[in-house]
Amino acid sequence: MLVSKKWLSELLDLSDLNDVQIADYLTGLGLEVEKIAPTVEYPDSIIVGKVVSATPHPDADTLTLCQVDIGAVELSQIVCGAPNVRSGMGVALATPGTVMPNGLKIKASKIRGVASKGMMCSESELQLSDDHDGIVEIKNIASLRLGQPIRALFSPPDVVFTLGLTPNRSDCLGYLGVARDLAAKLGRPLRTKASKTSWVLSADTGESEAKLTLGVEKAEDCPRFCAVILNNVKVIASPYWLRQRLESSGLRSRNLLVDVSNYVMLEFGQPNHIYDCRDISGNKLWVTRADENEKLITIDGATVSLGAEDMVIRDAKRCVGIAGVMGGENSEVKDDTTDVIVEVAYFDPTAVRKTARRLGIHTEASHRFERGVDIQQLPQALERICTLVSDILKEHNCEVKRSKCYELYPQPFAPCRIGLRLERVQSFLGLPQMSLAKCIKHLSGLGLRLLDQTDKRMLFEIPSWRGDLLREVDLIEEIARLEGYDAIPYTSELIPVGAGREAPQIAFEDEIKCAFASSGFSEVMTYPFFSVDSFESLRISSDHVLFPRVELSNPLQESERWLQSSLIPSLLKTVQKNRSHDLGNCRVFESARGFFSRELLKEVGTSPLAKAIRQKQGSCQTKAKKGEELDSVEVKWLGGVVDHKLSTKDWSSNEEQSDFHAVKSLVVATLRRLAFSDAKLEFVAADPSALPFLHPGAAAWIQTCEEKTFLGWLGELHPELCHTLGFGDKPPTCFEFDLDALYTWASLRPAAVELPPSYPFAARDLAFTVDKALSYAEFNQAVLASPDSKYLRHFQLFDAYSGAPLANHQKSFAIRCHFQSLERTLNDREVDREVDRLVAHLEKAVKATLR
Amino acid sequence: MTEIDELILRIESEFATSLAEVKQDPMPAVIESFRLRWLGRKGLLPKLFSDLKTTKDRASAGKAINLFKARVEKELAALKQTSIKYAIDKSLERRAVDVSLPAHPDTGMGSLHPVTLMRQILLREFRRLGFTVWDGPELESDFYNFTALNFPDEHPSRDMQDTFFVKSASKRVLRTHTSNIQIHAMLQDSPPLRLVAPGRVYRCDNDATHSPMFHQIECVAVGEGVHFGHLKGLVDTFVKAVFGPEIDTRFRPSFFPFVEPGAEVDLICTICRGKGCRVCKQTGWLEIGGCGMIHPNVFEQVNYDSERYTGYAFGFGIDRMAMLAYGIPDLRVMFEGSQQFHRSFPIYAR
Repeated sequence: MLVSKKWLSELLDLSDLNDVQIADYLTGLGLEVEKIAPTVEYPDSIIVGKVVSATPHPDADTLTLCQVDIGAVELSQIVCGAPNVRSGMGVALATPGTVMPNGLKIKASKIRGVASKGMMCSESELQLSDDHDGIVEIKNIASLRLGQPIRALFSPPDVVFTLGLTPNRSDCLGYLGVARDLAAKLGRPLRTKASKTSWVLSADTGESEAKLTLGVEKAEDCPRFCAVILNNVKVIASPYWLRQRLESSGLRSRNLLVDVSNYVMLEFGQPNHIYDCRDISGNKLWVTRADENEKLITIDGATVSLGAEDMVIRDAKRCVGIAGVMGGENSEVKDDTTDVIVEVAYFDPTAVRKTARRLGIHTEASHRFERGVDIQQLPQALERICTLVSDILKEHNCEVKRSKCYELYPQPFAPCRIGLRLERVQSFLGLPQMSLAKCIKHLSGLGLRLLDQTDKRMLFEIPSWRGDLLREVDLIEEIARLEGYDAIPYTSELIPVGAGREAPQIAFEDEIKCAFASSGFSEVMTYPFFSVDSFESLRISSDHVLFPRVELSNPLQESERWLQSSLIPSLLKTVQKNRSHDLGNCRVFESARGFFSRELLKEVGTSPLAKAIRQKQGSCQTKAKKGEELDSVEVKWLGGVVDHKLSTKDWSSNEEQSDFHAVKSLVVATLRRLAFSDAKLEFVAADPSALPFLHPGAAAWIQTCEEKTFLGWLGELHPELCHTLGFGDKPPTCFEFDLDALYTWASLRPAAVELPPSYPFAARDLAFTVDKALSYAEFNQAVLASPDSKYLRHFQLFDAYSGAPLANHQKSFAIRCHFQSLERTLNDREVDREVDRLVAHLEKAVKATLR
Repeated sequence: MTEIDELILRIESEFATSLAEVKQDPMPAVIESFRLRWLGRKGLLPKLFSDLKTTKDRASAGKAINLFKARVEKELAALKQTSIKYAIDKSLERRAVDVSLPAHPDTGMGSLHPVTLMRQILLREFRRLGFTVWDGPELESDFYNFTALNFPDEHPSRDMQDTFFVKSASKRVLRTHTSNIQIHAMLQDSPPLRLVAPGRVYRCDNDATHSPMFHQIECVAVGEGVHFGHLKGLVDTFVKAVFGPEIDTRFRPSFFPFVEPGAEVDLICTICRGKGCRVCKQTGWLEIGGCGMIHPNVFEQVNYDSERYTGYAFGFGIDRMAMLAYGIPDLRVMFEGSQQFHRSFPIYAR
């Protein structure tokens, strides 16, 4: 809300406060001042000048030809039409190029054949008043430097505070409310304005006999509905002061009736509406609901299609406005309007909110009705409108006649009463010295009425404009607000509580982030919003478990309406972006959630990933509160991408690899930091359709050794995607882990750690020829299963080879074996025997032959 | 002169030449090949001994050769002594690297996100103060995100947070704040309690100062006798721990449905220390979050006795604090993933 200082000062004496002090008081009350701005800022090109000669224009009687000294070498020649211009006068000169406060641009021109370089300004042009009969005279011109900007000499006509109001303070959506709060804080009285006419609205009699029938279909839609008919009005332009008021508060002036309507809305915070009597048939206004698909053209010219839920105002025949939101064009005030109906109502906040939201129309009126207006103040607002209209028109020799006040108010307002305990105030705020008298002073200042008190308790009646005060704690806040939060001392003691139970997974997430960062990965954070296309372009089709299925109903961008299921799309995008900035060798990871919807999880196959997510769904559901249907699952992922190193522009040639095995080694080494060596990982070739965005020949599931629990996956990007995403022939390798599963894996404690042996080992290098189809996992398993290898303590693959001289269907695994006894040193014969047994076993088990 | 004498003379002169050569560059490798040439299994001396078998005067020849062998061994021992010193001198003389050549730029380079670093600093501080860390869902029901937090249905207070709604039968939203965790925690644990909950939150808002995804940290304490002064004290303590002892805080009234009285917290601008600058829009103060005393309506939602227990809650933006602490001028750069940006951050929270 925009608050003019001039207007506010009329309601409350603020003469001793500067703008910043006023703003600080308002902010201190919770009416946050977001901006302080003068209504007009004079540009530097309006400068002080002195008229050195004024002679009649050779070609026009009413114009004067002036030479103006602006402190420059040459005098400026100005043609001026003002009657008061004379030689020796100090003037405000707008030089060519100036944009005036009203938007007019000043240009050097010729007026009746004589060159004129600028304009001498009137009060109206400087927006000091509406006086445009003569130019402004700057006094004491002798003491001023000619050519200096006038900015320092003229204080702007008004200053506007932009208030960021919180939705609970509907009372401050009007000047009276803001003034009331400030008056309570400053301990000053509110000024009430005397009106020139002393009309009091009467329910019984009026000066005109005009008749009106009011009706409300659903009583709860409109608990109070008032209207008056004004006859013999005239639609004229508003006086200057009224226009200024509206403009400084951010509204445009239209005509007297509309302006008064807006003025009273701003003053009281009470929206209202004025109808042209000619357009209201049957002298009837009633609040009802619209027909489905009923059309209304609103006063802003838009055609609105109404629904059966929308609250509207009707006359005897048709819809004439959307209640609490906007009036209809069909009954608006026109230039020749002479008789009007002024309507003031209290519409149900929820009904207005629903209507406004459904129609997508947010207006000054709906904003106030949604937050609740002061139901007790309706007649005052109505009277104020009538008074202003008749006062102003009286000055134009126009006698307005009013009808009696028509009103529907079946259930009068019953004020709320709230008890307040002094002890509660003190202990809640940490203000043990707070007194009863002070509580009463603060609350009375805000208009609360003290009904009863003992030495420890108070009972207050809440005024109708403070619908936000509902219980004791609300009164405590009011006291804190007026006392000032600064008055509450800082207390550093902590309340005693037992030792907390922190879920260990929380620390694990930080640990694993540290581990990946230590392996050279940069942590990134990305938005989780995606289009279906971005998943489809990763070859993820709608029957895949990773196809996005959680949809936003109000996305920021229409296309990005799906929540991510996996971090890979955003990580690939990140890598792509970095490549385009020539930053290769990008290693990034992110720890964030993937979102899955329940309904479709049944149909997404039996891959380890699909199974793992289905299982999570199951365990979430058992943890959920009874009766709560969980239709979505969140999975905490840790995903990463290792990009290939681009052209080596380093002085060393330190080539880093991004192929499957390089990244597997990096990832395994990273994860190994988090767990004991007993916790082993197993890589299993993935079915090509299960991870369709990966190279079918270089993609793996990662699982635990014993339970075969799903941990994640790793693989090189599919060559087709490398092509479409612009990675060329150098595929990045990606991976993603289920953090919760990893945590369980990493928390395994070893049964017993291996102790250093007392006797030396004997090493033998053995190279085997095997069938090409045999995986290392199978070979490894066979070595481990060797039944007679009593002394084989440890072995390690040191070469995997295929090619000449081996046959095409063959490959070779070479392992270094350590043989060792815990009791003694083995001799050569014993070791040779062990080797023979192992070779014989492998020949039998996997058809391996010693090379 | 016997045949043997001639042989010895010839071999001695050969030895002298060879020795002189070795002395030119007595590196250990050179000496070793010299040793092998003379004393090795297939060296010249063993050959001499085997040649001896065919000579007539074996005794005197053997004596002469042995004398020669002793001389070779003595020279070799002396050479080895020289060699060690020679090699050290050589190394000292030869190896002189340019220590100013740059470190290999990518070696081991990794970093944590500034928000993670700030999150870790905050958690370190709150754990030290005895707060328990909690976590909660990001896809949340209307109850936890709004209703239980005293946001009535169809109330304008719901407009304060631009909410992302999810299409689903059960009215889900992306959580707009971490305050949902208050409710989860209070429904699970009974008072007194102290908890802190960092996490991602979402609002449908995107401009220079708003991101549709950002991070909050929620802090809650409930017990008997907890008052507004405790809240002020705690906020001030952690602000000073993060930004320095000279950074003061200010509280001013505001409105959040789940607290009453509610407050907005400002801290002295960390850039200009209160003098006024562009970052604080010349006010000298920076807004970092909202807080207040937990509304009794919230306690009633989780079946806490609101007469017996009182509590405070606050929620601050982690992103904003990271920006202030690390001098990041633009919120959006944190979510763009540029390696140039990220590589300037360390792995451990500072």
